[in-house]
Amino acid sequence: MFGEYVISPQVSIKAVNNVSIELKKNEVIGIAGESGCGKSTLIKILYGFLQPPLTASGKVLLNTKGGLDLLSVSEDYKRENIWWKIMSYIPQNSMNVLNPFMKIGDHFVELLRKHLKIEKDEAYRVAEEYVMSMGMRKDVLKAFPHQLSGGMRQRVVVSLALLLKPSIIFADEPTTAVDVVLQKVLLQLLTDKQKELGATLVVVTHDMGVHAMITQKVAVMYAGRVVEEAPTEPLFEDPKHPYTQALINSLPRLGDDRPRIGLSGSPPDLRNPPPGCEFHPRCPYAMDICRREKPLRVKIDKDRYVVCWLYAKR
Amino acid sequence: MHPFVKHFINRTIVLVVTLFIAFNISYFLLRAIPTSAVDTMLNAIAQMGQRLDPEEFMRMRQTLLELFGLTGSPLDQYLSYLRRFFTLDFGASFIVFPRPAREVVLRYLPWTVGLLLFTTVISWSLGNILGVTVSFAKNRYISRFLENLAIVLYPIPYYVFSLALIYIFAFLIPIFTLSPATMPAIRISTLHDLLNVVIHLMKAASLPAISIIVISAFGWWFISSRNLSLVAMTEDYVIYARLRGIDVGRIRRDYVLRGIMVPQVTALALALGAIFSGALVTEYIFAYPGLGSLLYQAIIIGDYPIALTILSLSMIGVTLATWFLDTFVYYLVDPRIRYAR
Amino acid sequence: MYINTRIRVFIDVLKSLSRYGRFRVGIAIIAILIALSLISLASPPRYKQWYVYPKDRPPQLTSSIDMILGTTTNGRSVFWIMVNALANSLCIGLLTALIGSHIGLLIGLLAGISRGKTELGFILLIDSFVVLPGLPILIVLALALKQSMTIHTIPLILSVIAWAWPARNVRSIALSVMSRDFITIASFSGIKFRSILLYEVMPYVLGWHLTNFINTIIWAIGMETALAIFGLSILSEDTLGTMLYWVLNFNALFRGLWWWILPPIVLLILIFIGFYLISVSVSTYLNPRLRGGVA
Ligand SMILES: Nc1ncnc2c1ncn2[C@@H]1O[C@H](COP(=O)(O)OP(=O)(O)OP(=O)(O)O)[C@@H](O)[C@H]1O
Ligand SMILES: [Mg+2]
Repeated sequence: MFGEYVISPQVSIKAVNNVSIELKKNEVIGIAGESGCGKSTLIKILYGFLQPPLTASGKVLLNTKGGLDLLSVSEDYKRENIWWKIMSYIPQNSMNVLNPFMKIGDHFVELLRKHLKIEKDEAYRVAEEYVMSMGMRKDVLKAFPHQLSGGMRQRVVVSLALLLKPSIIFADEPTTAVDVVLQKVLLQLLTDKQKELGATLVVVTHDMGVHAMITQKVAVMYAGRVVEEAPTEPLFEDPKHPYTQALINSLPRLGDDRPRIGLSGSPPDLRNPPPGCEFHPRCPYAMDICRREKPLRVKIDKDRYVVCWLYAKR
Repeated sequence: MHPFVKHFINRTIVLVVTLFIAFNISYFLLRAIPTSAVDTMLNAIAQMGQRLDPEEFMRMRQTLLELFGLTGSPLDQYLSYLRRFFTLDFGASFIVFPRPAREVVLRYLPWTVGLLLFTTVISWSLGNILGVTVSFAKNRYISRFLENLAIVLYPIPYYVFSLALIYIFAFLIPIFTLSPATMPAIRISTLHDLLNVVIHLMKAASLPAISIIVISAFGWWFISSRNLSLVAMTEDYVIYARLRGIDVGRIRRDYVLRGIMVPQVTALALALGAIFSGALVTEYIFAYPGLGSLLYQAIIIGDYPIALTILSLSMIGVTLATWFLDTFVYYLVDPRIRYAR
Repeated sequence: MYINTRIRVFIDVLKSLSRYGRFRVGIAIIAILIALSLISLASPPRYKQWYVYPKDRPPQLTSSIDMILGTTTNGRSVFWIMVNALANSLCIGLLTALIGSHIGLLIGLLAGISRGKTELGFILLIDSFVVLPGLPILIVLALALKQSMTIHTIPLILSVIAWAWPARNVRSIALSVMSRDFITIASFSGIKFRSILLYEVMPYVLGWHLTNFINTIIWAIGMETALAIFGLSILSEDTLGTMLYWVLNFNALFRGLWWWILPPIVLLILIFIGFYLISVSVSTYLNPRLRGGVA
């Protein structure tokens, strides 16, 4: 699929470029990459949430709904039948996404009433039980967002995402900007629930440590493309794409004090990306062909794909 | 400290300082008047008031001398003006000599306040609802039309629009008869009286009200609420609500409209502050019996007591109204102020 | 070198502005109005005298341009009054904007960079002037200075009030610019405060200064008109305001002298709309979040 931010007829940003990805049941998938490479855009498209200036083409097929294409159904339909019931979303900056004019409880009640079609009092009771099951005290329901700590708000947002037992959960940087301890707790909460529900969890983060910790499969993005896709363990042991290698090399490792090779340069301007492979200006192995032609997707192992001329069989 | 107490104290400090600055502006305005003007003025009154009793005239003279700083030490002048400013006591009016200017102004005041209170509240509500609605339906034909209309109306002052309205209605489509409205009997004893007053009011106020409402609802309030809600729609909490699949109507009401209420209520407070002087020219043009028409008469014969009373009244009115609304309405609208952390 | 890049930036900005339909319409309106006002340079000296022409004549096409818009009740040519009034009103607006918006810029910047008690003082001063009713203040001021007023001092009088809105706007822009990271970094890295102000803050503020400038023109022309309708402008000079004053004074509205009534109303509306369209495009350009429906 493709995703583009159309700023004006002349300028558009191709933030997601020819990506195809498959989400399986009961799996944690990570999406990695530098800031601005299109991770958030990708999961917005997967979620079927397009608002100007973002436009998308391609297909997002939902098997639980008999192969329904999310990009071609109306927003009304998604609102009623898909969003939050089947898929839920934890947005980036989740500390500050609650309605400052509404009590926490109303956030829950609103959703429960809409989808379970129950009365207000009952919805409130359900909400009370639910937040307690998520390890919070029930008075949080009576608070306004500004009265809670940042960590608490994030926990509320995570709980909201799990409220209707969805089968796919998108989490966009769920743990940036919290301390390490809380990060552990939140990730634990998410993965526990995911296992319990048998759901798919898609975790977006540039933090390779988080990927190593909780994911089973990782897709690495660079400049709007997925450049490598692999099960987590082999990926970390033997990264193929030079970009992935650089990302993993920059991780601190126990008992390893070789100087780490960081990436020099910065990601390309997506308004007019370089010709050929987008990564070639920063790639230590760049060859002639890399500057001229786009590399193709190559399967190198079971479930392992890489988009790089180094691995192309010719 | 509870945030509301803090808010209250802040607003009150602002109130006091603004009043002080207002007072000083008005004081120094008076000092700008050349002294020769006072002589002219006294002569004028002396001529006008040949049938006045001398005592009345001497009192008037004294007031004017005091007002324009021709007697007493600077400190005395300052303090006496301070008292006059806050009690609106600027002596006898020239227009209806020897009635105190304050009394004359207060008789015209309800008309002005009535008109502007009514039109401001109506246009504020109308403009906000329209603005939010339109910002949700960006590409529809009608919202395009409203946007362009607003851009055209926004910069036009009421009185220019009023003139255009008069031209159209009195001339091209003569529906409204334009005749100077006179003040009906204020004493209302029977139902018939009341009905008369209401009918009279409707007739006198309809054109000025229309010109104010059209300009401010479809111009100002529409634009400000549309801009605010366009910004609000990119706020994270609104996007998150859309991600959750909350119904559009609900998002419009509980998220966007609610969110723009805080700045819009402040703006309303500012606008309501202008109910004492918001449409002086329009009132005069339509011969509506409010402060505008009074002020015009006062200007013609150089009636400073009336002009000063209207000035002080509008200054004090503005600051008090702003203070009141800013303090208490804000409290109702913004939970971040209402509830302590 | 530096100047060069600045000029290039300026041209770029103009280019992207000219993509807004609204900007082009605004510029076109204002250009036409300016052209019209330049005709006033050719006015015959006697146009100011009363009763040189037959009175109350509707427009007629004769060999001379004098009667093209008819005449007034006091026997003057509406056309020549109109072009002169337009020129004078534009001048008043421009002069007030030159004085008022620059005072506003200065005070706004000072308020933006000051801290503590001085800052509080500035805020209270600016906010008071913003809240206090402008027209009544100007009316009393004009009443007081009526004798000594000329067409060139009116802008000075208007500037007493005109600076407040620009000052408030500049202050808030300056504050938001200075809270950005790069300024903090710059001030940590020991770059002189003056150069921060000049090279980092000013470029942002200047764009808004332009919209303030234009808005002040609109405001000033409107205020002069309001004062004039109350008889508090220079009635012997022609401005769009005094033109309306005489229209009302001679009861032209009810006598149906449409050729005398319409020119000032139409010109005022065109001035307001023209300048406002420009100002709106500039502020939309500066604040992309509002671009939603525009462009
Ligand atoms: N609303 C928007 N309008 C225009 N361009 C946008 C918009 N949102 C994102 N972009 C651009 O699209 C590209 C991808 O953005 P995206 O938010 O998907 O990146 P990301 O990988 O999630 O980065 P981060 O780690 O910083 O969240 C960026 O270059 C960004 O500038
Ligand atoms: Mg992101």
